[in-house]
Amino acid sequence: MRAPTQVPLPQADDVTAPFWNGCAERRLLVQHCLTCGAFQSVPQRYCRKCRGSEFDWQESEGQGRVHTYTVVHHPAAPALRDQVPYVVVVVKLDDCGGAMLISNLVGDGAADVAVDRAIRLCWDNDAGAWLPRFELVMTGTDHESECR
Amino acid sequence: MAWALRDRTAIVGIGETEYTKRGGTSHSEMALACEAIRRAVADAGLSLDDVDGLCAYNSDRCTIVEVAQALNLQLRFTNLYPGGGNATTGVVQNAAIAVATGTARVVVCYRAICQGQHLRYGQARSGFGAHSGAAQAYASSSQAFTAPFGLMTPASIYALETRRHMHLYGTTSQQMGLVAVCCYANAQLNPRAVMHGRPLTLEQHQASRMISDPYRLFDCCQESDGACAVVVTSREQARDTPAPAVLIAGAAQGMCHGDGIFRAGRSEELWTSAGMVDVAREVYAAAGISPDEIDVMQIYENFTGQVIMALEDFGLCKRGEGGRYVESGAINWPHGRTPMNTSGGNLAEAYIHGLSLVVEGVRQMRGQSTAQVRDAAHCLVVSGPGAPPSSALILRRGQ
Repeated sequence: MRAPTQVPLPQADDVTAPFWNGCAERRLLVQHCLTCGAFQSVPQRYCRKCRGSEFDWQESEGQGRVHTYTVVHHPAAPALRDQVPYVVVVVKLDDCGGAMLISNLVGDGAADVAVDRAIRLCWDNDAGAWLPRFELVMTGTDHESECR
Repeated sequence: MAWALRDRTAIVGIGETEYTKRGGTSHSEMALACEAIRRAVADAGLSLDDVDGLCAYNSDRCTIVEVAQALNLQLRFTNLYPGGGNATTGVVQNAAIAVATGTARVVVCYRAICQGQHLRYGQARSGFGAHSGAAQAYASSSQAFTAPFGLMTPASIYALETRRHMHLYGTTSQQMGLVAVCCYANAQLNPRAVMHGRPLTLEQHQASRMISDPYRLFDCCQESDGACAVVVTSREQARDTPAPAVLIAGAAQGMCHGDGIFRAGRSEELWTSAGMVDVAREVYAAAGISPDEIDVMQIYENFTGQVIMALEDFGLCKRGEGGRYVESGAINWPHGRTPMNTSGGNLAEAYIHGLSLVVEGVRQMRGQSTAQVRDAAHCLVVSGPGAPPSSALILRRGQ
């Protein structure tokens, strides 16, 4: 299963630029508060926990679990008509304080998505920008990643 | 905490236009807004010259200034509640505050929405509330963390929370379907309902097409055209109005730490609730009653799973038992413990962004619903679950 294309592409601003610049280098960076140590996957001007304003950016190894998901069947825009179904997952990372982010589950077995399944980061440029997607961790067998 | 305004204000007028499926009206949104307001003011036995305040959703395209101009009103109070369905009862609370503080004497809350003429909520969108628009080529700030992954409709966003609830508590698609079946059954008694004459069975729900798993077509609210309005004034003024006064016993609004429009990074509690636990506690305290004393309830259905979570937040059942509570028949009219959405609600009457649920709450307290709960003294009205800042209202039958 593939991620949707012809969806809006991310546009960086001063707060989110480090994240999107990281993606361009295929590095998943998570904003980390230097005051309280909290991680936040959607970068903010201030820490949502302690309101601190000093951050660094920690690179995730990209292992995680499916916190929850939906399989989108209805094409909400004409461009999505030949792209459904696709899987949207909320990823809970194993590192970076268990930070959660929204992504897609792609590749072999994505249709078998379930809460708590182990997944791992892969990079995908189908949509026109490098986006962090995820695929199921297959146990026992090697498989060819569909992502680059 | 006890609310200083308990029972000091009342809803004295309700007004509605015809409700249709999107595209079913030949009138503009503005014409419908004005018509609903005229009818509500007439129902209250008042004149438009008595109206000195307007409260609206900030997502309403019929702006307060244009409505006031169209109806030639003289205003001393105006207010916009941030958001959409979450504003359902928030506008009424804000009107009550204005009236009780002497800021205004007669405040009208209105909502007009024509999804046949404007953006459909079921289509890809970017932005929220007043900033909502059709999806663009690029998404910025927090939208950049959702839209590029194809998360662009309310159905998909709310499906994420519902799937987590199903995983943790065993909530089923059938239980969600029974929420829809309940609303459709009530709509069969209500000639104003868009789905009047179109009953729904659980089998039809289960066979309906998948929109965003686990949500099927009949789990999702309608896309409608229509408008409605309510008139709020003081309890003293209400003595002179034709219809029985319906007291605003309690109201609450709020948003808790960690909640917001982007879902990633929420606490576990927010993933499996409507985010309304605080608002629920406060609305009961405001009215001075407990969940046991609620006789009838109108709970905003954006999606059926969010109704189940709202039932839990508002203490009708314990956390995680919402699905089984629905399955027990507790929400069904007339024999359930606390009948719900007695007009058919957003699912089967019409989707007027929730304000029609306040109108139905007033009808229940007047004894005029088409699915009247006998001797109902208290009606709980809950705004859009899972959409902060949330709001809720408890109406009390006047003495």
